[in-house]
Amino acid sequence: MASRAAGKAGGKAIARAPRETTHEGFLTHKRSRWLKIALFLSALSIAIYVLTDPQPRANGGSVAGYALGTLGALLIIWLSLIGLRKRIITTKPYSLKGWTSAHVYLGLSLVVIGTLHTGFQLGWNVHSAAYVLMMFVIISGIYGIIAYARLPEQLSANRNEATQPQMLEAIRALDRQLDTAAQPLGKEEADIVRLSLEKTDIGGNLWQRLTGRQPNCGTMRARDAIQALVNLQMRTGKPDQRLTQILFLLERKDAALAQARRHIRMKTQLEIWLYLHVPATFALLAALIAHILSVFLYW
Amino acid sequence: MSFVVRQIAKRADGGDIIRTRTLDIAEITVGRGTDCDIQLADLGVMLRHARLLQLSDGTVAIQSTGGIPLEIDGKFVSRADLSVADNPVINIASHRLSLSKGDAPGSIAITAERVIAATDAADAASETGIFSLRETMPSKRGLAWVLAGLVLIIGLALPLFMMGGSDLPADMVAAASRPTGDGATRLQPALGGDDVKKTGYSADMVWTSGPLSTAHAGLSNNCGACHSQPFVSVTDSACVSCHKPDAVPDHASADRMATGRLPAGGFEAGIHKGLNLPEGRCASCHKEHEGPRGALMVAASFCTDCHTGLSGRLKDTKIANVPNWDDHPQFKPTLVTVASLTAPKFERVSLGDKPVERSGLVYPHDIHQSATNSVGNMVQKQGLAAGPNGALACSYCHTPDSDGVRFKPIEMEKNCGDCHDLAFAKDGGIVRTLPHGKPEQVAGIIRDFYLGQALNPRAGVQRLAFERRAPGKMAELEAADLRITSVGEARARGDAAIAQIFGANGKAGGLCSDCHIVNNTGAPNVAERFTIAPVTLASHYLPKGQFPHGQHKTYDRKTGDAACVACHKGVMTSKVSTEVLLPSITQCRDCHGSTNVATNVAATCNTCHGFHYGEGGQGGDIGTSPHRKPAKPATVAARALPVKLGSAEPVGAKARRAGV
Amino acid sequence: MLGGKQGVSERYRIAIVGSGPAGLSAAAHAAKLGISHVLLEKTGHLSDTIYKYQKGKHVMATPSQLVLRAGGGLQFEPGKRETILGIWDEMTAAGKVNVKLNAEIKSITGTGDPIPGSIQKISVRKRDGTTDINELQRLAPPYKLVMTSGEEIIADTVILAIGTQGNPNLLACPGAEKPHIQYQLDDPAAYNDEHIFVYGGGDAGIENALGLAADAAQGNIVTLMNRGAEFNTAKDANVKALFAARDAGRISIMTETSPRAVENKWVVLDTRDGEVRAQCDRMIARIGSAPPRGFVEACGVEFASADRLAFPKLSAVFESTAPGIFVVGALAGYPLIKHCMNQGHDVVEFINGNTDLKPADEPILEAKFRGLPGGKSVSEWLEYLRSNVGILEGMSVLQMREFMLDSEARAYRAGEVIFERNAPGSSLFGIADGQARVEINPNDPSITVPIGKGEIFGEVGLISGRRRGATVRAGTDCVLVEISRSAALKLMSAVPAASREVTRITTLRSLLQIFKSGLNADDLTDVVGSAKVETIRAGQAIIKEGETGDDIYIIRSGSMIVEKTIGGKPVFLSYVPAGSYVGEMAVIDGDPRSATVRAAVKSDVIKLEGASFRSLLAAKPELLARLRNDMASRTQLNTFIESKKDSFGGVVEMYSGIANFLVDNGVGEATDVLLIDEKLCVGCDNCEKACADSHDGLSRLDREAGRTYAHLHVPTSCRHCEHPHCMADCPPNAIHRGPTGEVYIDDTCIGCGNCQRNCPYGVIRMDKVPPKKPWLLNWLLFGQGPGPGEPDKKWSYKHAKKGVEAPKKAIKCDMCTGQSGGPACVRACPTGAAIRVSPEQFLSVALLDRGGE
Repeated sequence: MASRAAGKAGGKAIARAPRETTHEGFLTHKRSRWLKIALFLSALSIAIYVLTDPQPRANGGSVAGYALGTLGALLIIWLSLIGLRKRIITTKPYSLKGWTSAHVYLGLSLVVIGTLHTGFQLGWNVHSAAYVLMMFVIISGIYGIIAYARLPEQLSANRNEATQPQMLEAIRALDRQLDTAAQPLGKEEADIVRLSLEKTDIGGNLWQRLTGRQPNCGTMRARDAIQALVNLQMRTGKPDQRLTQILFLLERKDAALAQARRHIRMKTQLEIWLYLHVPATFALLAALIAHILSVFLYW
Repeated sequence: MSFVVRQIAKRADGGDIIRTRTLDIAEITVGRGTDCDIQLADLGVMLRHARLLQLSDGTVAIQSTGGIPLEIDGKFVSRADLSVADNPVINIASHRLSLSKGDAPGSIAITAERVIAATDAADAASETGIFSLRETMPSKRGLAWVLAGLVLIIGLALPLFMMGGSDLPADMVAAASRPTGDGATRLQPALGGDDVKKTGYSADMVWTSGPLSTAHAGLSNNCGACHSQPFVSVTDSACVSCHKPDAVPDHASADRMATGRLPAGGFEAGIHKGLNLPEGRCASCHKEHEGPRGALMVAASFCTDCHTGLSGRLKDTKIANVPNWDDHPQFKPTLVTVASLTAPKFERVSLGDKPVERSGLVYPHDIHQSATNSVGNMVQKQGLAAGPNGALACSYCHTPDSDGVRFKPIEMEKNCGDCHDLAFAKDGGIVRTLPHGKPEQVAGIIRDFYLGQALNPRAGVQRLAFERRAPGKMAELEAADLRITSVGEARARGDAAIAQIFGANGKAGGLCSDCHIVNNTGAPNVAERFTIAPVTLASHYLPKGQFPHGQHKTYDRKTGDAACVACHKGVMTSKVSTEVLLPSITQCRDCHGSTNVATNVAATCNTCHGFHYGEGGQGGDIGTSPHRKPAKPATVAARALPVKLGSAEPVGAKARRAGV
Repeated sequence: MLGGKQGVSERYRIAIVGSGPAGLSAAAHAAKLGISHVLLEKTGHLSDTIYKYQKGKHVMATPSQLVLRAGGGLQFEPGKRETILGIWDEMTAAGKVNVKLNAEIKSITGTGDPIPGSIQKISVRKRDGTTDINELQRLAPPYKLVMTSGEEIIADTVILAIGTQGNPNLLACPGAEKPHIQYQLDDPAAYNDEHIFVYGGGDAGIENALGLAADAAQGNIVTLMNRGAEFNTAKDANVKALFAARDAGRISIMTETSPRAVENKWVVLDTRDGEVRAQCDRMIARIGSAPPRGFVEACGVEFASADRLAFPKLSAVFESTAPGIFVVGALAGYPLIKHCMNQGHDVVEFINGNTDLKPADEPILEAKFRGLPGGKSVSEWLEYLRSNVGILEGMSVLQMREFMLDSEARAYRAGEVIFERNAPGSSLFGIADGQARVEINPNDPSITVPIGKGEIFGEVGLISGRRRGATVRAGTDCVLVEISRSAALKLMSAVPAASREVTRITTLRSLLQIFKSGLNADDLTDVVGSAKVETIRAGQAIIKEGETGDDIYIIRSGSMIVEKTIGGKPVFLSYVPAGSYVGEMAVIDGDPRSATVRAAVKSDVIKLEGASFRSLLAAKPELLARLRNDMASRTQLNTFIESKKDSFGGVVEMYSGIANFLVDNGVGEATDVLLIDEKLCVGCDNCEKACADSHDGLSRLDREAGRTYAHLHVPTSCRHCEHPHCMADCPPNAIHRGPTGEVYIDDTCIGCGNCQRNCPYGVIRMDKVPPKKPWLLNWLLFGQGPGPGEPDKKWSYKHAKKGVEAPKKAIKCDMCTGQSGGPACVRACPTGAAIRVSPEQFLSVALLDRGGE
């Protein structure tokens, strides 16, 4: 019986599995251990580059060149493995945070290692292509670091304890209320409300997501139109109660949309770079294969 | 007369809610308004949208009251009479009214249901996708495949497919294989990178690790030309296919190179061994893809690496070890030990060991460098090239070759003939000259001359005398008594003349013995009594190195002959031609690699030597100095001095005539 | 109303009340044995409890190793609710079982002469808290059973198998009998276009109201009435949803309202602003339900104690204190279907005179006693334990049997470790034979205190739910009975003496443990004598700053927070876990209280009077010294906070803000809680994915949901409470605290959903294991399958094995036990936003630095 087993085991004070209780982000993981390692690697590479004087000039073909190249290639392969590490959930102790930290700093050190490996010789060939791809990946990664460092705080502030389904549900609820509130209205007014009900795209296309702005959002247009109507009636006399009610609803929906769109904007900014970083990485791996193979094919 | 209205609402979980009302009236209204009999909560519907009027049993008139045409069975009309029997369907915005016969007699059933789901039908949970980019962007996976695929195709697949080379451009092959003997056919200008148009695209060009040297630029789209086998570093065979060995001779034979080379060691060598990159390939020194200038990889220690301890490895070598310039051994000129027409003998003797050259020629430099003696007079009288002091210029005999590196071979007619003409008799206007280089004929010619006079004496025939005298002062010898009475007398006088001309017993005054060593064999037949020792002139004393004389014309701020004798000391006093007048290496060190900064000039090995001189030296290699000009291998000419028959008059003769 | 027909009442040998598994099986068996019987069911169908399970629910048969001994060959295999009910209906029909549906029994009284000296005292608690005792003279069988319809039945013996469901409380107002008033809601979708009033602000009421209003298409106009102004009995989530629905205009809420009278189509309501008459097509009253106890007691059946967990006193053959009335099934303390059916069978056998029938759980008990020295039989063992372990006296054989099902009997050799210091464990140990030694000084094992035969130990773990305070070894070879927490609680409610004893010992021991300076029991007698156990509501203060008073409080269970008012604001000073004590300062220096102490969660404290305590201190100077040390450290903290306050006040506010926030979110009663620093969280949900992938495809945590304060987020995931609410009511007792302190559900779970309902933090979900996902690389490279994390419902449904019935089971965080890497959510967080901490770790001044950010 399970409880029996548990009972007998209960006697022993079994140490809890090790766990991350130190509260430090991936940039400062283990007191920036990986930053130090990365700096050391870079320094080492520079030393190699400066201290060796290959004939006729520095390039990937010299001993130092091959050394740096091997180091770089291994790094690139290892760095690209984070995609696997992130998804393969093993039971053994590991810290993805540690991996991220290493990924970030070693990735940055590649700027030095890779560039020195080229010996500052670039041209229209597969070798330079690999280098350019690498730099592209790294630069997109740098954006990622910045995004990861800055956005989460705003994200949580904007979310304000609302979950994504809740945000949507809030909008949907307002839609339902609008729909019912608009029932007694005449065609023109009803059509204005329909603008908001049917012509409102929360997410929008990539640009709208990135900016979080949707100039011709149905809801805004509807709100302005109703606002105009109400103002008109104000001048002539007492505004239509139903319209003011709808205006109120539209304003609330507008606010809800704004929050959702801010959320989307930041989520997008947090995700977008991966759509460059990851594919470019695979292109880089391909280029790396071509680079290495071709070097030895045409020796 | 009644309508049975069945309004169907969809439940969230899919089920239907059917609300049925029976209206016992003949006319009902349809619309969004609360006062309508059939209320459709749909903003697309007008407040009062349509009116249904039960005309007779089974027919209904429907009329749009909202100003919007009604869609009835697909057609848009503002009013219509419908027969209930054929169950008509009316679409209003997102709702549908379908009419049919009711169960009660005369009643009409109207089923109203929403056919297009309301906006909020979609449940929020399923839409959370809009918060991630997944639905806006193409999948990372797809992008990755495309990009990686593209790179692999362009960067790997295509090149692999189109790998290998086309045949080499003929002009390049020609240029490369042309012997680089004379400067006209240099490689560089022939194939200046830019005038070679890089025609054609080849997929494997993307594999290039950098631009080719101008010389090879023409191969930019022809990788296979050099990279013949995959995964094998460029082999010499590839280079040699254009650069033929006779154009670019080996430094030494491959095996001797192998044994002589300093055994490679250390990390790099280990790698090379591991990667099957043998030492001593062309590519070990000639690195390509290093930009237009190309790159010959020559370390400072390039030569001395091997030559410091060469003898240790290459036991039978004749070459002394050269650790560096300061310890460079004394020059060992190649000297003639045995002059011979057929098989002369040479020997390299260090200048330090009192070298003696036995060229077989008699030439006292001092006499010829005097401005006051008969030579000096000759120079003046005949206006020969003279130095500032009026003496005969060095360059009169030692004429530089086109490159100003070395000198043209000395020829008797050109360099000696003006003074040392071989005129022998005068017959009227004709001067008879003895042939140079054919001593066996000379005796015959003379004897025949006297016999001729004996048998058929003619006036006006004179014999010319040979002893040097002031020009013009020459008097016809025997002019009077050339009347010979008997054959016997003729023979006696002829023999005397022969002996005199050869200068018997080496005594001076003889015509030949001025420059040649004449032997008296004492043979009874006077015609065979005298022989001339053979002459062999070395054309290149230091074949393994080169000394660009042209660049040293102003040595020690001197000019002309002064500059020459500044190095070739002893020329002015040299009485015999067995002396070797080459400057010693210390002479070179005055400037080259000297401690005196003012005069210090570079002294790297290839200032004088070249790698591709070939084993005999003087190979086709041009080294690095464009002024260098290689000579043919040290060939030696044994020259007899031919007598020109009936050619241009000897100068001496002219002089004499002038005196007439 | 006795207006029903008053016909001659048939007479049976056995009347079985309740057609649940127990009753059904009993009836079936009686039918098989050809005994004249009747099965009385108050509803219109058999076994109402199972009938009320949601449609298609998978019903399980645990404990698996228990043999089924269903009467009349009644079958029971795990399966769909429908199938099981179907089979039972067939078999009762086939077995010629005499069933009476819609027969709700109102009363059971003996018809024979009064049984001399057999008088039952029934205590009835009234609103004002006082209780008065009614006395009931038992009458001998045969019994007369009166139904609500007025029909009567005479039976020699009665088997009460009515379960614990009880009856809903009824409306008391005029018109309460009207047909459109109902007390439960089976299918919310069944009603359209009605004005519906739901009465009752509990979870049941709110859920019903939401269900009725969920779908606008149904066009119901729903109003929720609540007597109180607040909804404090309902779950937070439910209340949120309710207000959301109100804001969306789908529900109207009337608080401080109760029905005055119900008319046809209308209802009259008492509201704060007077009487309101409203249209009402249907009223659903969910105002709690009365446990069947009252009815049962009225039948003359006596309960073990006044505790609400108590069960009827029963003989070895299930006979109650009323001769001829037998109690079986859940009401007898056996909630599992198998147990019930077995007892149904057994009780009929007993009634039929087969007294030497061995109960079905015999093999289980044999297994438990196997390997113990002395080779006694099960009944001998039970008797041995009962008579030797003090607190077990006063238990019936039957109770002992049931008790042993949840407990363990073990033999230890001298010196063998029974449990170690800091080992988690909430079980109680009783010494049946031999002696145990407690190592009171962790640094010096040689110092031990003996615990003799018949005594108990481990009670601190039982009460406080915290890790063991000291290592206990077997002093001599000994035989112990380890009483699991659930068994111990049952025991304490069944045997009042036992609970008193446990309390006394706890007090004594916790005192000894706190002031470990050579005190012994008799030093403390008068202090303990003065000790009072008090239960403190969450948020209630036991000590108020500035007040005078010299009582000392030992926190027995729960936890407290200490606050100090600085600059008009309460500042969080420290977090006081169970097992520690507060209030000693005043005793020592006599000053007024320097800080306020509030209960973070519902807690038990032991209150010691200052006077007796001071005399103790006078007698024990070294104890005084010890207290002064502690005091020093606490005053240090105070001054530290003060200084911080002066230097940068914001920090302190932030600190106490966060601390209070965490306490409000149940971190106070947590042992290990997942926190997310939203300054770092990028919302990649890798924690959820990792959780799902390391727990057969189901995530046990919802990152996004949950409260947030100062970017510190408490996601919806298990806090592994000290006293897990989920454990409270688990029929198969499948929830345990594991060796590393985690609370986990083992695979005997029957998916009843009690734990889900009981968890105040909504971290338990009922779900079935999704189908296997394709290999990860197939997804990475070719996009096969749903990818990492929990597959969406559509995919799981599409790829589920057809025809295989996957049961829904309760799943919750198990702290990734057995994974050497520790919690996957923390391991898999790429930015270090996710951290798991225990409150002691986190509710510390260390927070000040974080606040400084």
